[in-house]
Order: sequence, then structure tokens, then C-alpha cells
Amino acid sequence: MATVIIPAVLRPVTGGVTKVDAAGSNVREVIDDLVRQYGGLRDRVIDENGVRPEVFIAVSGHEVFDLATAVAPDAEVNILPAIAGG
Amino acid sequence: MVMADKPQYRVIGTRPLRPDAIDKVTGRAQYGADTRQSGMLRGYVLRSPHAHANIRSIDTSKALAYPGVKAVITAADFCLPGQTVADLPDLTTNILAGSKVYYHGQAVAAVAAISDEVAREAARLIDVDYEVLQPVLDVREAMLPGAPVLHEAMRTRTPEGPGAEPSNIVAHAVVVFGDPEAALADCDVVVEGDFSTRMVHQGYIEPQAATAMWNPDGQVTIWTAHQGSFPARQATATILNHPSSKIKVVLTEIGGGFGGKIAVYLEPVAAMLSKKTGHPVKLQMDRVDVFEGTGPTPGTSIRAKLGATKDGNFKVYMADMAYENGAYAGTAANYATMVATACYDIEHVRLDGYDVVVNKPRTQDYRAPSSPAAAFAMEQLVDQMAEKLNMDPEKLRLQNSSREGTRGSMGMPFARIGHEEIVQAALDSDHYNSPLEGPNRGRGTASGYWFNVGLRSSVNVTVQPDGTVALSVGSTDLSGTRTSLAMQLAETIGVDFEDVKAAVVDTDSVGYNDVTAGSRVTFGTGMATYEAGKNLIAAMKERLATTWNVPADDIQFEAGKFSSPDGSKSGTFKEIAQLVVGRGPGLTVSGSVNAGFLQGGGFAHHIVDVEVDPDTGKVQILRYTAIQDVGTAIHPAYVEGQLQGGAVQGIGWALNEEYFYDDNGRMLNSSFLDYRMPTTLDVPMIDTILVEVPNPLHPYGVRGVGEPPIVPPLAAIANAVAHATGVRQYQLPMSPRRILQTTGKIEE
Repeated sequence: MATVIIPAVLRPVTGGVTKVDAAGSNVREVIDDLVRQYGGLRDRVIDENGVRPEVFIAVSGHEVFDLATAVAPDAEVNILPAIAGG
Repeated sequence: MVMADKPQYRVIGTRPLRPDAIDKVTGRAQYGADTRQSGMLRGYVLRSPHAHANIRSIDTSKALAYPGVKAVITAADFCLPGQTVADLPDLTTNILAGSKVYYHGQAVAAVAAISDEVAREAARLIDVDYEVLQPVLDVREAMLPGAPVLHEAMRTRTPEGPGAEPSNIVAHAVVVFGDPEAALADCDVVVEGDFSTRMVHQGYIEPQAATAMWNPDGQVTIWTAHQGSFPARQATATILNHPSSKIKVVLTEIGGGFGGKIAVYLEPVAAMLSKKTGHPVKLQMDRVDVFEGTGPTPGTSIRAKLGATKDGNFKVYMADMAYENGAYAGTAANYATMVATACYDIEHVRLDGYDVVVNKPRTQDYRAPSSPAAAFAMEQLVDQMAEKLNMDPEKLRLQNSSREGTRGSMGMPFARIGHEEIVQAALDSDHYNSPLEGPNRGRGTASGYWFNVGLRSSVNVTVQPDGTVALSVGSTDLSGTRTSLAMQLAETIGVDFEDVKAAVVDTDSVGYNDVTAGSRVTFGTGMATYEAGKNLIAAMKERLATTWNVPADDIQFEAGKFSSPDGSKSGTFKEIAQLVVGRGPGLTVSGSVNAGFLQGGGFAHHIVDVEVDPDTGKVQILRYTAIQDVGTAIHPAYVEGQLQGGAVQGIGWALNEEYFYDDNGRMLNSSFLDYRMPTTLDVPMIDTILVEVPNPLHPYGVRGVGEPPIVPPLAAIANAVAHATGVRQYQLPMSPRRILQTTGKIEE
């Protein structure tokens, strides 16, 4: 199973849990399993069209834009809240 | 300093004259307030004299009856059927207050009239019945039980779930790595401090200005000096409940932003006044409006500890960080948890971030938002640790530096970064190796970090019949990005810089662009420009294939020259463009990217020498060097300017700037006479050292450069003052009064 790192801004939804094991062979399946475990993440991470525009996903340190991107069983998946700056 | 792996470029790295220079220095450039439309009315915004009050009623009848007045609006004009002002979202009530005002200077009503003078006179006739409430202005006081509550519905978001009672604490974010409590007990040396910084303003030279025309067919045009035409369009559409596709935003030149022009203030108000009157309406702020009614950066309170072994290995960092959000919920403290430990490889970390509302303007971003205050704490503790361990602070930083593979505050491993290289550059610099002699003098150093981001960008490139190209950009040009983008296009298609003409175009004329912020335009829009360049070369090959009667895939393009497979035919880009476009149909291509969130990260490191007058408390900056990993410096003069500007703004933040309030929450220094920003008389030449560690995430190795240079100055100057006076500075600004208080010359 992949390990999903929950950013601080979303930890109120996971009850403070920082790492979640989620099953799936690609990003879409991993996110689906994550949302199955923590339903409150559904509206914060994805919408009807995929990953929300203010959220980015990285797999093993590399940002991904295609939900079909493969996820290895030992991969680390980061959910990144988009912030810009000044 | 150029790293060995940097490629050689033809255009990138040169210093051409910026094409907007003459217009800007001769006054011909058109800024927000320069917009003039036929039949245009002038608007004026009435603002709250109170920091915290319920609005019982607003009577606009006298103002409406005033000769020359065409319309008066309040938040009620933005309500949908069945909605009341109490139901309006924060986005709307921050531009015109609903049932309550949360800060001195919050907009309450707006007037459109035949002249500015008439609008101002009429605004005085608007009768607002306030029920004045006790304000809360200090971030720690606002967190206490029993503090006046701004938003009755607000419940603190915590890892354990929402709080049970109304609170001013928006959220409590927690970041934990390792076992910080246990590791702290094992440390040989622990240093700690209770730090605070004050609310400061970006201080952009151009006050906000916006003009709107609402046509009877529902098409709306807005002219504005904003950091993002597309985000401004979307925010305005949301507030007006009007389709964004029916709103066209035209960007004017912009006189600075630094994050302060990301929010909309005037655009929806001008649009609503135009809708009501049938005329174009212009609104513009004065400096008082800007200070009191726009978004400064938060004041903070940070309690932090750093633990290390006796050999100087950082083991633990713990920080309790409270950030003012101003009147409405924000995420400033959450940002702080994402950057606080980025410069160092620390195994055990606990960060508690508290976002807190207070009766001050809704805060906005300001160059590397949240990072300078976090560094003010961290980098002073690093300096104290060096003192305790009797080590050179630069060598201590180098020993503990983040590098490729180090996990930052977000838990993500860094790609190739340059923090070690810039600290080493400091150690090798003339400044650091020059002795600082004389009484009351001290040297300080500090590091800083910002993510830098990519996000979404689009550009269009049109080939002209004479073989030159026009580059249409949708990103606001805050800092010379028309030039840095044109240089990247020239490099990609192999033409001279002078053969690329770049312009910022409106929202109907180019694909979507995210806001100009996060140092993302030269990076992200640069990637879109690179894509457009590649697409253009491919399109040219397709046309050339017909002319040369060879397969397009077999045509070579190298060093700015097309050539046929057998080498018998060839031509420069310009020559071929004159052939296939000058004698054929027009050619426009686009480039669109989502450059994502991760840009590779930007690190800065500063060295400063100060002299502190023991009698007056004045801190004089004697020498200043700003060092930064800039990836690839597309236009080195612009990059140096970013480093210098960031350093000077940081100097002001460190030494003099602060929002000063009376007990009723009224700002007392809302002018540049009383809000003390540095001038050329206050600072020496800021020397720069550009370290180029190419960013592997960009085709030309670009890193954003605008954010990081404001991060180190606060701590670097505090460290210098501590070394000059022997007294550690925990609170900003280090004004003469503060220096005299902390050195015991006058009472607190």
C-alpha cells in the first residue's frame, strides 16, 4: 500500500493522523481509497472533475498531473495545498 | 557565481534595456488611475471609523438626493433574492461591510457622482448607525477565553475536530516529525526565545484603482492594476453573481504589488456602480485608504526552541506560532508551518500554527508570506546556538543545511537546491572576510526560504510578416517579466531579443493565467513561453515542408536555423518566417502549462553590518550583501534588483515599520509621513551575489527570485544589533525607542 502524507491544513479532517496507508495501483485509486477512509477529505481533495485546482499531488517526490500515473506499493504520496506568495 | 552545469546561452544572461523603460521614466505609462472613459463618473468609498461595530442601519437617502450623485450602493446591493447582508460571504463583506464592521477603514458604502468632490461630499451624508463593540488587537489576547469575539459562528479547526465554543482562533495546525519532546531532553544545548513582529504593509507606490463599464447587454469591462486579471475576473464574477465569461479584465501598468494586489477591493464596487448608473465608474484609493482598507501582512507571536548536540548538530526545533489573520479567516500560520524549518535538516520537529482573527484589516500576502517572521525566530536561535557553541554561525548553518533529499517542513524531499552553496558563498565573500571594526558595531547573518510555485499559464505567439514575433502574455508584469519572457522566447526560437515584442493582454485575448505571485511568472509563464516557442518551430516546419517539398520531421532546427535534410536549403528563423508567413497566411500559436506547485524552492542568505547609536538608539546599516540561489538569472540586472528590493523592504520591516493603533483600534500612522519606510538616505548600496544552481524543473533552470530576499533581513539585522549592543532583540520593529528600551536607556 502507498503511504499518503496528510498536510497540516487537512489534519482536522483526519483527526490529526499524518500518514494514511491507501491501496491502489495509480493516483486515482489511491485517492479513492483515501477518501473511503476519510470521507471529509472528499470535498477538500477532489471534485467531480478530479483533483481540485488548489491541490497538487506528488508521488515519491515528483509532482503528478495525471491521475492515471502509476503508484508503486511502497510509494509515498504527498497532498500539497497550493499557495503562491506575494 | 555560476555552477559548472549551467549551459551557455545566447540571449539568456544578457542585460537588454527593458522595453517599458522609456514610458515609465517619462510618465507616459498608463497606470490604474490613468484610465479615462467617455462619460465616466467618479466613485468614492465611505469607510468605517470604528474597529469593531454592528451596523444597525444605513440611510443613503440624503446622499442620493445630493446634486450630481448618480448612485449609492451598500452590501445590500450584492444580495441575491431572499438573502440578507448577514448571509453574504467574507469575500463580499470585505469590499462592502454587511451586518458588522471588523476593522477601522473597512468599506461600508460607495457613491458614484459627476466628480470626485461631489462623491466625497455626498458620502458624508450617508447615515450609518453603529453599535460600537470592544475591539481586540493583539494576537495572543485574541486567543484568550473571554476575548471579544469577531465571528460568532467561528469554531477553531483542530486535529481533534472543531471547537465547541466561538473563538477567534481560526485553526490550529500541527506538524510533527520524529519525537521532539524526547529528543529535546537528549540535547546538549537548547536555546529559546519569545519573538514578536508587527503588522506591516507592502508599501507599493501605486494605490489601488479600478474602472468598470457595465454595458446594457451584460458585458462588463474592468480596467485595473491588479496582480492577476483572471483571478480578479473570477472574484468579481463571484461577488456580482455574474458569469465570468461576460467580464473582461484589462490590466494597466501596475506600480508594485508584492502580494497586496491579489485581492479585489474596488473592481466589484465599480462594476455595481456602473450597472446602476449606466456609465463607466472609476474608483481610486488614496494612501490612507491603502493603509487602512487593504491587506497588510500579519503581526506574529512565535515561541521557539532549538536543540543541538555539543558538536553542533541540530536535533530538535519546536515553535508555537500565532499569526494575525486580520478581520477574516486566513491561513498565514499554516503557511509558516510549511516553511519554518526548510533551511535545515532537523529530525525532530513540532510546529503549532495558530491562525487568529483580530480587529485589523484582512491580511494579504507580502513577498514570501509568513516566512520572514518564522525566520526571525529560527535564525536568531541559530545565531544564539553558534554563540553557545562558540562556532562560526555560517559554518553551523553549513553543517546543518538542507540539501537535495532533505525533507522540508512538508515532509517532501527537496530536489536540487542551493542553500549550501549560498552559505558557502557567504563564507567566501569579501564582505564576510572583511573585519568590522569600531565600537557599537555588529555583523549579522541569516538564511531564508520560499517555495516558489509554477501554477497555470498561457501565452500566444504571433509571427509578423517581417519575421519578428509578438508575444501576448496574460500575466501581470510586476517586475519586468515581459522582458524575461521575451528573452526565453528569443532563446527558444533563435532570434534576437529585439525581434520579440511582448505585451500584456486582456482576459479575452489569451488562455488562463493564475495570479502573478509566488515568483512564478518567469518560471511558470516562462514554461508556457518555451512551449509556445517549441510549438512555433513545429508549425514553421510544417509550412516549410510544403515549400521545400520534404517531410516536416526531417527538417532540422538548430542554433536558430532551419535546414533541409541534405543541407541544400537553410535559413534563419527570421528568413524562414518572411518566407512562410510574410508570403502566406498569418501564424499564431499558443503555449499553455500547469507548472504545478513545486518549483524547486528558493533560498537566500544575507550579511549585514550595523552601527547602533547608544544615545539615540538609531540603527545605521553600514554594509549589506544579499546572496541567493537564483537558478538561472535570465536578466541578471532584474534579478539583482529583486534581491536589493527585498532586502530594503526587509530593512524597513526590521527597523521602523509597524501599524500603530490606539486603544479603540484606530490606526494612527496611515501616511508615509508617520509610517516610516526606508528611503535612499537610510540604506547603503545593497551588494548582491547571484549563485546559479539551475533548477531541474525548468527548461532553462529558472527559479523564482522575488520572494526569498525579504526573508533573511529581519533576523540578520537582529543578529547584527545583538552583536553590536550585547542585547538580543525579540521584538520588531527595532526602532530607536525599542533599542533604548532594551538597552536600558529608557523604561519599557
